[in-house]
Amino acid sequence: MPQPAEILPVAAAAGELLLRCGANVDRVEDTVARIAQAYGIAEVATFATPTGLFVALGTGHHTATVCRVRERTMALDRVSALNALSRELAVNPLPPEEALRRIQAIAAQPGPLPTWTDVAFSGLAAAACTMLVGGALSDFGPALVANLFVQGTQRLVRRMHTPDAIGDFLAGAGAVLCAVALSTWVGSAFAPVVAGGIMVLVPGTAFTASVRDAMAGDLVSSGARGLEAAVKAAALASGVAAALYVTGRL
Amino acid sequence: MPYLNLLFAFMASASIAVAFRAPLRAVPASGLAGLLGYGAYALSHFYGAPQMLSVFLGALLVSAGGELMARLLREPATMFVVPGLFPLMPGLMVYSGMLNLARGELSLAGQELTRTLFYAGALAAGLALPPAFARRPR
Repeated sequence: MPQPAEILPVAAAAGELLLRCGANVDRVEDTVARIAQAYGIAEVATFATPTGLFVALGTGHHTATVCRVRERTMALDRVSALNALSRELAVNPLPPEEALRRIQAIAAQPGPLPTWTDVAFSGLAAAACTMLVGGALSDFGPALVANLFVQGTQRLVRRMHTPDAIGDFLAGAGAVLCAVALSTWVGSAFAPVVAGGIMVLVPGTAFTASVRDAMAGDLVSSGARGLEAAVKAAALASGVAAALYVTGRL
Repeated sequence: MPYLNLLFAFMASASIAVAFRAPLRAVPASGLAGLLGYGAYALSHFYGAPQMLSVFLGALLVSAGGELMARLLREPATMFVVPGLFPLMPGLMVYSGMLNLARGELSLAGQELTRTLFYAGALAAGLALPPAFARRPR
């Protein structure tokens, strides 16, 4: 029977990776507990927040660790792989070192498509949103062009390890400037093109997750997510407002 | 009822699923979740339901569909629910609220942000119901 000290790194690594991939805290706590229970450790205390994870295992919870999570990027393929692994462990508990290796392999695995494609597909999603908020079919092309530019800018800025807020500010400004340029040159509608771009950038996911966590009783996570959404939305709106002001449309 | 929008809802959800690095075999199902949710939202809104009820129904369908697909494809429901909700996100409302703050239109901003809060509440309520009744897979 493995000792809590042997299982702790496995459970904590899985939880930390899930948080880094943007999973909900209830799912993280659930997975950590399931992994520990798969190795016959019944006493588990976990506390996950979007920015960190506490895990304590064993009688009296004497074996404990803390993980700090600084960056969160949506990576559903890793969530899926971890889900499959935790299900596998429940049936067949691998040796802890082997399980840890598997988790590290999941953390290092490449995405289903090359990284640059997420710019293309975010742009496509934004163009589709332009249609949903009332754009005409002829606005689809311009919206796609504008949003490829906006998403590309945001990724580039983020790659320079500046705070996220700066990337959001520039992306918001870029969305407006592109829409202004395109409406001047090709005569596309202004508002739906901006709106579609904004829908992809705006932290709707964080905002909804915040309300959902509040309803589930995860109050710390709810507060953190709400604040994240507010800061992002404020940065984005500042960028948009600045660009509207400069182009005389505010 | 603009039926073409259903296609765009599918497209938005499927594309964002790819951008969120979903495994490719799950992508069509994510798009379908988006189509279902947006369809329920648009249809009920078209037939005169208030916006809050429509969004509740939309989120309910996304979440129930997500749970179903999670069982069929043996993937976590998040895989379908996060992209599926995308066409229903209150992004535009948050944004216009913030923009009105920047313009100094405080009462308009307050109105919009409060509405967003309730909209997100309805969304989250619809989202939370189906998993509460579904047994966890595994």
